[in-house]
Amino acid sequence: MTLVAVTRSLAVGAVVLGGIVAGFSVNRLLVELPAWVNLGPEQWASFTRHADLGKGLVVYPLEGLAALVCSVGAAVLAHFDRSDESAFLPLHLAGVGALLAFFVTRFLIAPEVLTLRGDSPNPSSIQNAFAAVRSWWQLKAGLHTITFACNVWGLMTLMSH
Amino acid sequence: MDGLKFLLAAATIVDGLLAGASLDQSVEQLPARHRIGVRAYHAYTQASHMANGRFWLIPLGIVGPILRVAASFWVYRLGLAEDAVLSVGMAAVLAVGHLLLTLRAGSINWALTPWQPPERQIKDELELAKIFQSFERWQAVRASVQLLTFVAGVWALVAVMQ
Repeated sequence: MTLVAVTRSLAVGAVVLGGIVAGFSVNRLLVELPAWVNLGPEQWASFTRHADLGKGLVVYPLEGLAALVCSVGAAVLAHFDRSDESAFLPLHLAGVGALLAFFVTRFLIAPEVLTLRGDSPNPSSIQNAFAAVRSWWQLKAGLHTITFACNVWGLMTLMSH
Repeated sequence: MDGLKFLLAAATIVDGLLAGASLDQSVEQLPARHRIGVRAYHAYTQASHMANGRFWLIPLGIVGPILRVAASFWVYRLGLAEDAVLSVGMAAVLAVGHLLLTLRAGSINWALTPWQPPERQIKDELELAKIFQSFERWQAVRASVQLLTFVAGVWALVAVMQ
């Protein structure tokens, strides 16, 4: 497999995996989190313990990391495989967006969600965790969407040369 | 030709957002009802998918197939390479498929909507569990077809750009 083929494969992977991550993130921002505002943070905490901290604790980090590796990998390899320079901007934007989204998830959202792991976290810590997750999720969903759009743009540019 | 590329890019973005949301529903949300209970899950679906969700997921589910079908007519008229025609056509067929599956899944879920008259509101846990189980099966098929549509759409984008 040539370097060009690897770059293109990573770009395809970044679009597919990044699209799924963006779709999940935007859906959570627009559909799920507003529902928990109505139902109450304690219900959110209970659901999160059973969903995000259940199967989600494995599926989402794996999916997110794979999308990150593809995005950053495509951006880096494009420099070495003589890809057209016009692909650099979208691929770099996607790589930076994916990295920022990873930092927001790993260092700002995950610690808040992990505080719910105990048997009976107190209501004020649940309230604080919910407010923090809601607030940072806006940034996360925005970054994943920008990353996804840039990866589509980057793939189109790569394939047209 | 630039218009077709833009159309395919837009369809890819719409399909990706839809596939991600749908997979989340099948992989994480629906199974959580076994642990939080069907009543709590019912309240959650009424506050999420049947509230804000209808303004986000329904438009995505309709716009995606429209873009895919429009792209397939366009590709056919341009007389592009066989690979491009096949991939764009396959994405369109799959998109229409998930639209039909959405109609089926939606008709099952309709019984659980908050817009039902009071005498038809379902409170019985066993009946709720049965409806969610049936919905889960159709939702799994729908999520798979939506994912396949998205993947076929990416293939179509690559085939047309080459």
